Amino acid sequence: MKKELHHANKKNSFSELNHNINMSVFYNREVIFEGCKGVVEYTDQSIKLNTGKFLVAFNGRSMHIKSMTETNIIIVGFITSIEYIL
Amino acid sequence: MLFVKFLRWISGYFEFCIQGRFPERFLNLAARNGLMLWDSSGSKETLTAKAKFSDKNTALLLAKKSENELMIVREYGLPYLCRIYKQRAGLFFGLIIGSILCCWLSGFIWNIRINAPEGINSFEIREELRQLGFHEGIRFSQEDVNQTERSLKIQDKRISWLNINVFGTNAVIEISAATGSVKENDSQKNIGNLKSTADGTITRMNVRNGSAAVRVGEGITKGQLLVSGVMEYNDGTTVLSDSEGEIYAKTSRTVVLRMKKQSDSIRLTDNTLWKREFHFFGIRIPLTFCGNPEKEYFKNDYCQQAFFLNQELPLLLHEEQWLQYQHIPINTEKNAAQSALKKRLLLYEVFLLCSDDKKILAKNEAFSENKNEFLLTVNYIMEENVCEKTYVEIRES
Repeated sequence: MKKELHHANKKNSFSELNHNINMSVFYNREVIFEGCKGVVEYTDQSIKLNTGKFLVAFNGRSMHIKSMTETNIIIVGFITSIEYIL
Repeated sequence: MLFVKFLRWISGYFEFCIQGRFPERFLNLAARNGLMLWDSSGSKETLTAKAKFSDKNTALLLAKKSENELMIVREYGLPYLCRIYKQRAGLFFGLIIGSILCCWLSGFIWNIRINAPEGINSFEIREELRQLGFHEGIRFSQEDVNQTERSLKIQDKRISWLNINVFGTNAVIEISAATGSVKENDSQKNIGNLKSTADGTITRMNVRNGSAAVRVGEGITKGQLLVSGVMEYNDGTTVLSDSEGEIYAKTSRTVVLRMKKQSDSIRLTDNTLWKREFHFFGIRIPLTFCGNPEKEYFKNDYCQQAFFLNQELPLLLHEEQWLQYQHIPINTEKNAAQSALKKRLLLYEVFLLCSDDKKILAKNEAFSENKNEFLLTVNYIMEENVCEKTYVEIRES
């Protein structure tokens, strides 16, 4: 019974964590990121986004922001790596 | 995407550069305040992007708030162009006048293209249209076009069908040539008689359908009924049919070939006169200032249409070539006339005998002359098919 409760709590926390964040990657050229709370760093080699609980860094070449709203962002460039910074 | 670019150009946009310690702060503030940015690119402490003309004040405010410096790199679009050319009011009026002129001139026929079939000269059609009041430079009216179509169809018997299609300022005229008189209704050809085409004596006959009205050895006259399409049977019934068959008769024919003792021959001289006209938008501008020669001239017409990018322009160069000719009297000698008449007779016989149902049995030639001409009289005795089909028309009453 205790084990089941622990499992349920773990499940709830996981869904809470991913509640507002959604990321679609098209090959290595374009990323549509939903749930962004701000841009932390913006250079042509790296774009770091703040999600509230962790940072996501998109590294590559010719990186730029194609379009941006309050929570959504489209990043275009030659993406070489995606990094989660907790 | 092209449409989006066009809309952005219409509303106007500007390219700017943000410089400061944290240009990302500007990005975040812009996103929160609904400032639309595109084509952004970032480097260390610098950010370049584009924004709408109407968001210029917001962008400046946000740059100040984020402790960055905003520099406008370049401005694009219609509002900026208007601002540049604000001092030149003439351009604006020129644009308006140009637009009005364009609209007004679009209502005219600028160019007429005639797709005439073989045998119908397009220049003649163009002249006929001009006489009917349809030429380059007239104001387009559907009623006038319909009227012109009808009038030209009635006026020119060579035309069986004509259509004037107006595409913008171009009028394309499609013409179909008349192929001859309309054939009679086939239902009227079901019953026919055979009649004689010449006087003579019947030598042989072959009747395949119908009842023969003559016999071999009988004399016949021109127009006499030879085979009747009405067949009567022994039981009293009558059947109407289409007569078929051949009836050969011995006929006589006289041919007289004539040649004048003095005749005229037409020969072109070296005198050639050129007249040139320039047709512009229906107006004829003469380039050669001389009148039409009155007598003893032939005329040839040449037209050259001006083209620009495969599009016909309302510019036409019309050239008239007037060739002078003269009459040369020729006196024909008796021997030469006899020889020439013999040749003509030979040709006549070749064409007369080219059909299988004619055969010359005997002929008698006599050469004579009177005051003005030489005569070659030939009497033929021939055997030929004298049948000619005549259809019986039956009408309902």
